[in-house]
Amino acid sequence: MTDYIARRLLVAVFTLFVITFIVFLFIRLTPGDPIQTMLSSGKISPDLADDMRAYYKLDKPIYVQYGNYLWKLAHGDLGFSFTTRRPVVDSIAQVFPNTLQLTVAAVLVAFSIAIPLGILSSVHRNTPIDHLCRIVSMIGISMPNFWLGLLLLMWFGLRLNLLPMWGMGSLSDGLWDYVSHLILPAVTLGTALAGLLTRLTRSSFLDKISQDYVKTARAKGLKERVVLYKHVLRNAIIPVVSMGGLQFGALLGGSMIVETIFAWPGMGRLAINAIQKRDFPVLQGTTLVFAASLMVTLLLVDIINSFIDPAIRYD
Amino acid sequence: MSTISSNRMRITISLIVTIILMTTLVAFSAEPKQGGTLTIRGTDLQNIDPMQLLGRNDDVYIADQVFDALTFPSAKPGQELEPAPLLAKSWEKPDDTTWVFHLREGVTFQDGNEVFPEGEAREVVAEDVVYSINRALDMAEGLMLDSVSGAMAIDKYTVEVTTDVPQPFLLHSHHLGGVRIVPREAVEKLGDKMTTHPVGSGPFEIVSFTPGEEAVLKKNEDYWLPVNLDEIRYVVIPDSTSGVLALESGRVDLNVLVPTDEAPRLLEEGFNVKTRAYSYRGIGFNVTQPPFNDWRVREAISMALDVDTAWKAVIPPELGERAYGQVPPIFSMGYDPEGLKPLDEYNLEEAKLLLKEAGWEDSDGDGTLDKDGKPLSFDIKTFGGSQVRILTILVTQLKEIGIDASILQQDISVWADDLIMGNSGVFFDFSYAGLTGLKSMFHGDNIEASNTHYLNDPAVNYLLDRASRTMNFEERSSLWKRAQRIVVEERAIIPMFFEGTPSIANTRVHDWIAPGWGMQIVTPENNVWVE
Repeated sequence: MTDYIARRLLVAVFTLFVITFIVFLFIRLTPGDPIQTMLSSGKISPDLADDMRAYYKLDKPIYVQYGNYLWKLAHGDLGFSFTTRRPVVDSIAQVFPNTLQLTVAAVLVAFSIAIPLGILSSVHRNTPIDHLCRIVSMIGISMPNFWLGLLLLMWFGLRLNLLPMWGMGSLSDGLWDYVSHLILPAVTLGTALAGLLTRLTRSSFLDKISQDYVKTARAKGLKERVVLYKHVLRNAIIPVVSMGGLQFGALLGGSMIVETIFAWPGMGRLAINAIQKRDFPVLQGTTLVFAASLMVTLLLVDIINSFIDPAIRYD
Repeated sequence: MSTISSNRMRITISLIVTIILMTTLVAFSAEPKQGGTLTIRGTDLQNIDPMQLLGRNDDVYIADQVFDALTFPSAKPGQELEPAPLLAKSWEKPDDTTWVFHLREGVTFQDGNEVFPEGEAREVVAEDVVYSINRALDMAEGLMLDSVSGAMAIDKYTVEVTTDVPQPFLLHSHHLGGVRIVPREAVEKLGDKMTTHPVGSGPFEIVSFTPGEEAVLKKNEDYWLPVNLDEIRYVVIPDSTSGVLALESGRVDLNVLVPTDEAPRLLEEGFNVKTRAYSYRGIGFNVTQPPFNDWRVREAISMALDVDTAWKAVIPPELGERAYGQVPPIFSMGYDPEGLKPLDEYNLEEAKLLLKEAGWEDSDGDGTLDKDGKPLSFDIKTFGGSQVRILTILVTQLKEIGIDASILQQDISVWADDLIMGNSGVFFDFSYAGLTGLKSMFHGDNIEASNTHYLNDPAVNYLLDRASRTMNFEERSSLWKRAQRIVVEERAIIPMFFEGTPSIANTRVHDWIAPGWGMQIVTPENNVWVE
């Protein structure tokens, strides 16, 4: 297992290197930079634009810029934001834990909806309960999260005045403050995943429930609850966890809309701002962190699966 | 008869009583109240070091509360955006390149912070102004201080600033008026904390500043003007719809950036809508690109457009005004609707004749004009916004005279890049460039920069250069108007409208001014209070 992890880490480093190259190249090849935008609307003078280009080394050939970037990256320096003048590392360090919290909460929401619904659906296969569960999961998958987010905000924030409408809570202001701020964005972000995992849980359960070892367990006179939770769930959950893990990585990088709607100070918003303002250093930094997070998540999923099912070996 | 008179009398008395009651109520409710928190919705907060504010309005709004500058942009009718005394109580110009500022005495920096412990704040003096100007000359981004050649303290409360050349715009927000005064001790002691917890002499002090989330400011008890509010909470809600919902929920009092489309509805719901930052919107031509290098083509397109109908269909009357030139109504210098309106003519027949004269005819009968086998077909490049709907109406009008125009909506950076590089023949044209926008947009020296029209007219260049060095307001305004008239006559632009970005507040907020080149919460002209 240790060898496997070491190999995966090496591959990850190489992959990240390739990603830095692709991201760097594509950002530079896209027309426009923040200085051009300010220049065109007359916010800065041509002289200042030249000074700024020199300061940020945008006047150097692209390979020199890339070399500088890699050199700094090797020293843990992601440069300074063009627009905020703050070190990119500081900005990412400030917001990454927030996105992590939101994503964990969203995945928890998704699992806590998907597993009971998936089991219910499979146990009551082709009954009205099953149909209802499938409809609910389809709605979850199909509903765009920007629409769901605004709907929740309008009902629970504006009309019912039950939950906060923006920002993050703080544990220092009490558990409810922290949780209440988390509910709407986590539900918005987790709903689509819940729908997907419900369907996966159902099909995985149906697959396992007809296996011989389940029949044997029933023949031994075990209670149905024991059969379901001890024998079926343990095997059926593996693909669900794998998918959940994959989606966790995707959610880390895909929470931009939800973070913007709920003013959640996370990586998604940082990346959106950077895209809109052509803030190259921030864009490169956030992309790198998203990619690294996804790789770490995939590795963790493999390790978790090996614990759930000791039969799985990666050697 | 007597019954009618008696009824009239009763009605009259009732009316008088009602009017008296209402007047009393209004007078009572208009009495400013002390205390309370004003919650403002913004879109981002990052860094409020006064030398690093370029391009970030929200940070400017916070810096305006923490710091004082020598002047502030007035909001008085007729003097809008003209520099008004703030830290400088008065100033004089012994000659065209020397400015002498007399500082207000007894103004102190904020205390109870890392730099000045409670009760140990010191007075703002001339040396602080000199230090801040020099710091700005060294590192300020976005401030146009190229002409400033030096600053020196004459005595404790007098500062002399010299310029290389006469600089009539020196006191405006993008120039010296944008230099916020900082104490040297704060810069030296706080280091990077200047970006989040700076110390100034403004009406509010920073309590907390979390980039991307929120800033909390409390009243500076020692401010030289009375301050009504106890606290300001500036919350970051980047999504505009969420921002409007927060305003409607009452959890936000003032939303400084509301989509134009939302404003009429909120106005009907009883919110107060104000706008101050009128900026120019029009259609621009790159006058060097065929077929727009032919004046007749530009003139014909201008004549074929019924701009009045198009912009009124989209922009609510409270948020816009018809433009006949580039200079918006908030600038007294160069605003010239009477002079320019006669140049705006909607005349389809004349447009067709001009195009025919320029060689554009429908030779193959396909409904589109052509010349040398090429159709008169082009994209109007723009980025997203209310203008897209206006342009949609306008391109339909152009099709009526055989011009195959369409809209190409781009990302704003790509749009800007295309314009600067000269890749756009015709484009949506806008300017936030402030008082000197006309020069930025049309002076030949700014080609491949802010002059995206590639106009290099010697007369325009001369007039703008001369105006930029003319200290006399009337003369300067006249030169500016003449330059603007040539630009319009040349048809480098087809002015459409001036659009104001609406700020919207609920009814508990009083004496507020819509942000525009800064946010004034407490000034000699206003003092915001909440019910």
